[in-house]
Amino acid sequence: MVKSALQRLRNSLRKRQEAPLLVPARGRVGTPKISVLGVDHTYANEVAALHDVTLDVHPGEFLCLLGPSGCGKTTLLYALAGAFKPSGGDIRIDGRPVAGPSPSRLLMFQEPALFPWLTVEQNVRFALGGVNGLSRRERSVRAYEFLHLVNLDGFENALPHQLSGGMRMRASLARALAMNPAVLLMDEPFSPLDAETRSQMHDLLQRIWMRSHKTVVFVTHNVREALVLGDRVVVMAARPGRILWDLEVHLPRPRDPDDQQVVDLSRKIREALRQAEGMRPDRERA
Amino acid sequence: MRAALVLVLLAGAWELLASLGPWPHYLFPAASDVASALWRLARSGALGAATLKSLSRLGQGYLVSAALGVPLGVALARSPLLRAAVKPLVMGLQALPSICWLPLSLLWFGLSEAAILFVVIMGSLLAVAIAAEDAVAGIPPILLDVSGTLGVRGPRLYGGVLLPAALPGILTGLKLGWSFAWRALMAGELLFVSGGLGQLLTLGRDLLDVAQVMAVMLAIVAVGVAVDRLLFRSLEQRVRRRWGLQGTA
Repeated sequence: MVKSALQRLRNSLRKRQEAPLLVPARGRVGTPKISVLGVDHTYANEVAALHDVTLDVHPGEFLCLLGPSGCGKTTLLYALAGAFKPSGGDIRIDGRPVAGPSPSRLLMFQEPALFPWLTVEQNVRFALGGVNGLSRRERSVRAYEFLHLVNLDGFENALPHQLSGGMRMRASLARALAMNPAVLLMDEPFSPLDAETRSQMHDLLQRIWMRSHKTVVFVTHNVREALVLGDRVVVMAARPGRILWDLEVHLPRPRDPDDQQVVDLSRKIREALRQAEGMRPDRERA
Repeated sequence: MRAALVLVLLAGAWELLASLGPWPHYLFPAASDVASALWRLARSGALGAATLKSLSRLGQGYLVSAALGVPLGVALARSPLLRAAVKPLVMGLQALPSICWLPLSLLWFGLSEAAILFVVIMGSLLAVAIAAEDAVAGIPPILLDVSGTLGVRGPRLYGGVLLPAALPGILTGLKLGWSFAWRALMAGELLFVSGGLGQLLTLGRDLLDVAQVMAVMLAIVAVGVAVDRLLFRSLEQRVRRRWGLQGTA
């Protein structure tokens, strides 16, 4: 009796331990924030950058597009931003077709892209100039509020070139968040940063995201970065650019790139990617 | 300090050369003669009046060419059609020495202020426009991309992003335009009598007063250098520092 109960407990414990941390994403009810349906894109040089890509992103989801260079992840992101029109398929955000760039689908680039002649605070305030119904004073208050959020207190009046790379990226993040976009699109924004600064940015972004639950699409080629940041990791492959796997990440937040589970999972994904791509295992370490 | 010493030595050599050389003294006056001619011109008020006259002409002509040249350059950079159609014309006319506009100008405007202003404007406008076009075309694409995603367009894009982003290059163009305008003005003033430093130069020639000719040449150089140093150099430095284009001192 006691023995069998113990056994049962042990089994259930083992089961909990083995509860999968990474599972195929399930469909969800409710209108998706972003809906990508059968999108194809072929560049002028006949390379199929995207082939029949279908993807739903739910409100408040942090989705990472992961894949080697040339897999079309950036192409997909820019299509979401409305930077160009894909040759086929349908992209809708909040049910409306995407047409042209808009601050409601804000794109963050691989560089901070601050205006060098404006101070940090002026950069945020200038961006807010396009938001209707904000007074001068409200813009300034909002700029200070978001610069505080990214820990840039005291640097409001610094010029971008007086800041470190990480601080510039934080200023850029503050500018993007202050615009309060419906969707935040990020194109490998932390890849130029050194490992330590990048890890701080991961912390910061997770903290901000846990508070605001903004819908984020984040492009990266770094598997660990995707696992640290994403609720969902969509793995893509090249030639033609397509979705391989759509995975949900069940890890407690905040996560760190050096967490054992992150390291293990990232190894698994890398190996699976190599097999899928038919690459030799000794090539390239992400 | 050392540079000043070299200058003094050069003036001394000039003085010696003038008194020892085989050439007639009235054709190659000594440095001291030139200095006293300069002093004479300055004291009589002729130099001051002529400088003021030239500068006011230059100011008017230059303002017009800056006010037209910068927008023309921006338009050239932003409109592919305009660039294809108008840019070859602009480049071609820019190669024309400014004084070649004088005959046309005299026919159109007669012997008037307007004629000389026209020469000054045509002499500098295109240089300003070409520099402004280069500056706008050279704006880092990322700044245009980020403007697009932030929803910055229309007047806010032109006034808030394009002009400030191109400002360092535009300033270089304005400086170049200034020196072109100055040359065009002197050429114009030399060719028809109308007051100004150029005319003072011609007057020296007519009076066979080489010392006066040299003195006025010195004054012309001095005005050019002064404007370059006082106005453009400091403006350029401030802009470059603010834009982060050079180390912050």
